[in-house]
Amino acid sequence: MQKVLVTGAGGFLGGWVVESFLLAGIPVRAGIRSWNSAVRLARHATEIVPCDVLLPEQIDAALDGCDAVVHCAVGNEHVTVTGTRNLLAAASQHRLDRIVHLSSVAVYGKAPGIIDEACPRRSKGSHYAELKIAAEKVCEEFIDRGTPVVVLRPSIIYGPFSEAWTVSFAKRLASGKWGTMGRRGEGNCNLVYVTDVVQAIYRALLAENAAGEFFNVNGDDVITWNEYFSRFNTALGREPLPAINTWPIAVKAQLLSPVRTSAKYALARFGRVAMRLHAQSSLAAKYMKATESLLKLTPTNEQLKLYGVRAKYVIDKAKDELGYAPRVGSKQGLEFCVAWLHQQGILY
Amino acid sequence: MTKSPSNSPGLPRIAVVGCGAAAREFYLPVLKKYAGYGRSVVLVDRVEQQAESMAREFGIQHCCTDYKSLPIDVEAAIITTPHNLHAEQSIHFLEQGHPVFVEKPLGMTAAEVTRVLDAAASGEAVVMVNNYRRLFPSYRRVRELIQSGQFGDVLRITIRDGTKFAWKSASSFYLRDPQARGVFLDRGAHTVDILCWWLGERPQVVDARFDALGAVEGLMDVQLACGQATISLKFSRFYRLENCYTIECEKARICGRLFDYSRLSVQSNGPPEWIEAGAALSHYEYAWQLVENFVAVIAGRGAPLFLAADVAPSIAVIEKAYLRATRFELPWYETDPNVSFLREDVAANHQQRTV
Repeated sequence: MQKVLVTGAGGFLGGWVVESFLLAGIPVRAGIRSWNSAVRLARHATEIVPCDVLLPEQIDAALDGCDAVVHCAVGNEHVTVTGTRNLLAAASQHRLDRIVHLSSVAVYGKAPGIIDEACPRRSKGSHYAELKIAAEKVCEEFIDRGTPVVVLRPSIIYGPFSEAWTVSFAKRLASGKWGTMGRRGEGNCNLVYVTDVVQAIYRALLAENAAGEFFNVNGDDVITWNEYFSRFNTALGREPLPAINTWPIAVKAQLLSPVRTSAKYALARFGRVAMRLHAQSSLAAKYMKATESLLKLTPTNEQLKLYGVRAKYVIDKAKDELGYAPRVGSKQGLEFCVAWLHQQGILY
Repeated sequence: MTKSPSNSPGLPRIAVVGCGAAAREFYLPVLKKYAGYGRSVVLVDRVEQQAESMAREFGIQHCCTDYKSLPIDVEAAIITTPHNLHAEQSIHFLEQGHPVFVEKPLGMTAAEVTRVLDAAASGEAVVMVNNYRRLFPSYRRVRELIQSGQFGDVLRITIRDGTKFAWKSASSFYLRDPQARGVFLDRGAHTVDILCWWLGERPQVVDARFDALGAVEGLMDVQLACGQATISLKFSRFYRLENCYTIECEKARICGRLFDYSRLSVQSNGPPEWIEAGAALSHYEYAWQLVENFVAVIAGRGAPLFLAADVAPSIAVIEKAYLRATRFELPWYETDPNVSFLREDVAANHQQRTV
């Protein structure tokens, strides 16, 4: 490989691709949308370029001198779907050797059972899944025209810097208000450690016959969500996790759903007013903090459903055709996470 | 927004050097409240487009790209460029006898700060710095409590200062230029200054660790000592930390949140007692007060609330901490089996190609 462009390099996975490649001596260029997201990458003396996938001229400049791209950028419909189209169009023009597109097992729509790449895609009302499916369809259009795209579908990616599956659960466990969830938590937690996904990406960049193929990327440990909570809790050095009554949580998740939506809207539109109110009124500050904490510690309806889904995303195809072999088990992965959480000051 | 300065007096001619986020957030909102500001302010930015667009936005007549060649004679300057330019640009104006208000940090090193102060002395011009947190009522009360000695000696101080980086910088300077350094210079320029000011003396650096991997750090831990007091600081650009300070004295514990500018708590023999130290304003309003103070000083209508020389000890502490800093252990990189695999595979492929 001459040089690999990584889009969405300011994000969790994109950041890990850039950092791992750098540490391994693979020439890489980090494409970011805004400088605010570049704190992590800025710790390295590496090449960081603006690459908003909605701006074709930025993509064009970012691809200059690259022979491959790892497409991790994700966002709203425009970014995820139009952005993918823009990137693939530019990649075709630049005649890249390989494009690795990061999709998700969300495209299977929480279908239960043993899920391999031949299973049908379905969104089941999830907006995220709809966007991921739409982006995969864009990839298929380009594959049909001969563009060398490989699509990877990772499962639950955890590891240092993961907000969704590491930081938020650490905080929930540390709050003392979290526990195992009985039958509601007996679904499969298809965990994959982030550098295992990086390994799959690396192999997808190099594998000769992978162009046009789709691959699940999962870890080797298939555990339940209850087991994940317990193992994470043990790794944090906490007292054994109690079983909690999930009915009140389910009711709270339902009741908080409109609060979550309106808080998001209010922050986006009146963020500055809220900051001012926070600074000037201790009562308002107290209320905001309590609401934020409640929202963070309460799972969403969608998350609660996920904890009960009994699905296993098999990786035989990735093992056979890419040579993918997960190397970080949940014990080691969680140890990395806990050490990182302490160093960051998120847990103390 | 604070009230308009009394009777909106005319504004002395001021060069605002640097047309980035700080100019927009801290300086121009204050200057535009003065009569005739559109003719009195000269905007300077090495990127012509940046200067012109800000001039249009704020209705300012004069702008240019070189602070050494201004279209009108100025009486003072506000320096709001990237850190590494502060000293050089301040010295240019001070040597001509023009008062200067400089964004924090005053300089990158103690030597730079000394040069700035020497230039101010030789040009007989005042130099002020935007360490506006010295105006927070809660911080002022903490200083009074420590300095009064009523709670005995300070034994231990802990400060945790972190938020997700969200500065709307016009350039990539803060994250790309090694001269920018990282979170410690950026946030420490305030926090370490406040610490030195509270203690009334300069602490010694005991240890410093950061996560820089060849460029600018996003996380830094610093241990200091001052007399018998031990001081532990943590700075982050990744996550919102508790953002609080705890000062344990012989007879009491003083606590507060870094961004609660009006209240603090003191616990001696009973439960913590909350103290209301002053009006709750936003941090912008305190910064604006300091800019108004500078305008009053150059117009001969007031004295500086504090001088740039006052913050010099904090720059020396920051410089020494960077000199002493070593990297944290980062096992999630150093011992990750996938990173090792990639490294070995890349080396093997390279060897194969060479053969």
